[in-house]
Amino acid sequence: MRNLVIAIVCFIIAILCVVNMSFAAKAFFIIPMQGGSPNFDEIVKYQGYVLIGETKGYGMYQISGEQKDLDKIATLKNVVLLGAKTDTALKEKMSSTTVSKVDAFMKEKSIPVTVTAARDNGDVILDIAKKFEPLVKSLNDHYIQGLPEDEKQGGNK
Amino acid sequence: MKKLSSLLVFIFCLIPFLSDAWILRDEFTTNRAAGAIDDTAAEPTGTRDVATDTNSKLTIGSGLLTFATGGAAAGDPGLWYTQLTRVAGLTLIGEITPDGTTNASIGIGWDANQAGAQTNSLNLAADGYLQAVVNGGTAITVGSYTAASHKLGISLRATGAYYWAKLGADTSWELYWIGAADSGNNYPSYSALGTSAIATSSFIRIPNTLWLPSPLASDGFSVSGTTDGKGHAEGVAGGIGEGGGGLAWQSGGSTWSVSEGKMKNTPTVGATLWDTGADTFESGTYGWVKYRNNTVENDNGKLKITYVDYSNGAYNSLVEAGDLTEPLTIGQWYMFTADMMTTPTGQGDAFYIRDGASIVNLAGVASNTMTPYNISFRALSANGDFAYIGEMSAGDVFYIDNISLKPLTLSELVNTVQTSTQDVIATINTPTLNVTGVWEGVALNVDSATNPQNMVIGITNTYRANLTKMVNGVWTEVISGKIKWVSNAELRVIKDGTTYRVYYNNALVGTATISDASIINNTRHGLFSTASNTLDNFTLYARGTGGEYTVLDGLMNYEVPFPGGNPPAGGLTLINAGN
Repeated sequence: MRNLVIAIVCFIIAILCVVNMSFAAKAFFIIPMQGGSPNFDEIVKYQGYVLIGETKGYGMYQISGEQKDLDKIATLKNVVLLGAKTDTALKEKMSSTTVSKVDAFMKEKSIPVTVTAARDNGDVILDIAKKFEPLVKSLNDHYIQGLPEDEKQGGNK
Repeated sequence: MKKLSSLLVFIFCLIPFLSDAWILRDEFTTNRAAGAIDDTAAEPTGTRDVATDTNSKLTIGSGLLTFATGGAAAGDPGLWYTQLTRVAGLTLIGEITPDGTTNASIGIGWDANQAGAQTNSLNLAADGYLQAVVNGGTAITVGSYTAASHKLGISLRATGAYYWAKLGADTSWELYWIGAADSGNNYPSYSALGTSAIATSSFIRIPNTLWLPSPLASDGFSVSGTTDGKGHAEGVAGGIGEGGGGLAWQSGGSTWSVSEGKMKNTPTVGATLWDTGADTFESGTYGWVKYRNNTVENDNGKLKITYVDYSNGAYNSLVEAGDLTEPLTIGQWYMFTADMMTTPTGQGDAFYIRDGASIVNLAGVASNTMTPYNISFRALSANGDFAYIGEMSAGDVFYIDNISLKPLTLSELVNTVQTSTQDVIATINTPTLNVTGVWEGVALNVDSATNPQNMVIGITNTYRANLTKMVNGVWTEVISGKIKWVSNAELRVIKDGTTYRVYYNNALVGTATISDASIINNTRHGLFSTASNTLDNFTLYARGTGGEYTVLDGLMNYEVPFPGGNPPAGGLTLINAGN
């Protein structure tokens, strides 16, 4: 009986994982900018992007696509992943790995933003966004569509 | 004449005072408990025909219609008034104050029936998104709202509707969306969007007066040179809402023309940058490099690429050291042309041009005979651009020959009309042919008719929709999103202050901020196209931030009729609505 329960739970988790994988993901990145476009230096897949702002040859982008594609983008040289654009992720504390990479980038580029693990992702990312585009008031100011089949026509401000 | 005009305005202002000035007016005067609203009189005019409220969450008290949380479903609670026969210009205006922005609140609008979600509505949706529903379709995000009092309105067209809002502390009515579907009779209504809706409404009103907005510009392209006013249905039909004709199209060249009721551009091209000999494969394979173990060979004066083990067949770096006579110029638009064919085993192959940063320029190649393809693109890099064949699969053999790469003249790509309005809604019907090599769409806030150096373009190549700005001659890509091509779909760009939204086929592609002073104050708007695919039905409406739609205050509020003065010329007619 216990094994049956475990099997059912695993099955449900597997289903949820599969369902979740099919949904479009969105995340914030800092990427070298070439004429406004994110310059990945190689062919990568994504659904779309919006340039939030630019400074010092870099653009801050919100990029949408399959999660696996965004995961790959995050591993590319010169790309700094700031965090996922979900309510849950933005309310979480920034991981030490992310803090380390983002803080190092900000210091290297002399962009004064306090990046610590004590702050919520959303607060740090918003502060960074304001350095790239002073008119930004909210992380919902900019919007890019996800995969059409998953898009619920979410926001813009 | 001036006195007569003033007298007419005065008479119009008095109209709402009269008891028969309203087709429907509900000020929620008498308190009513949950379950006691159905089939009661609207106060003072009309009938609350159906109130659905399974969980007793809909009440009237203190002059407010109140939706409480705990409803049964979308549309329950909901309130529907007596059905009205559709007449163009019939305008519903109501006030809604949501409790917050987290949960889906309520919608107000016109419904084809008296249950569930509404057919044509403005919804205060979850997470603070203002959404428009057109003919029961997917809700379209058109803006955002806060927990404040909002005035919302929907004016019926013969087919479709105009969607209005005066949100929170806004001082102007703004046009948020233009719908072009649904011609049926509708019920004025409120509808909960979910089970957590909490909101109040202090009134819903439909005046007898019929009104529709007139566009700044409208062109159905029946004539050359000037707008004909027939890019929108009201312009074709005549009467209220007509207008937008008589504006002169201006371009830096003479390459734009009207043919068979559509506009097209045939820009001139400069000398080719492709090396002589390499363009026609006189010998060898020149700068083409295979991917992995695929093969590349010269096959009787054509390049032959055979799939072996990689979906990308071969590439050519677009550099002077390769097959070009000179480096590409950053920001320059080019037209790449070649004869291509494939022996497809699947969906066909594709020819891509990487513009130095992104892969957004392509032509789908499905022909099995040598066929000319054009691919326009803008170089983002002088030496980082390359062309390649993609989407190959086992059994595919791809041929290419007669290559040219020629610069386009920017001033010929832009065709505009002069207005006096900065904030606009520009719409164009995109081509009925899925030609992925052509970029076209609308140009907004253009600084010059003959030498544009500052502007925003919202364009599509039927594969992606992009929003790009040019500041002092320098282009910056701002939004880029994949789209699913639909024949004749509308491409729409809405500019409001420093916010630009681009839509394709009634779906929001993206929203961005553009604050460059050299752009946002320009009042010249129009079209953009790199080649001779066709565009149709251009319309340009004021957003309303300049007070263009104060007439809606006159329609809505008998206490403050026409605070902005006279109604817009040609946009107002007093006739009986027939209900």
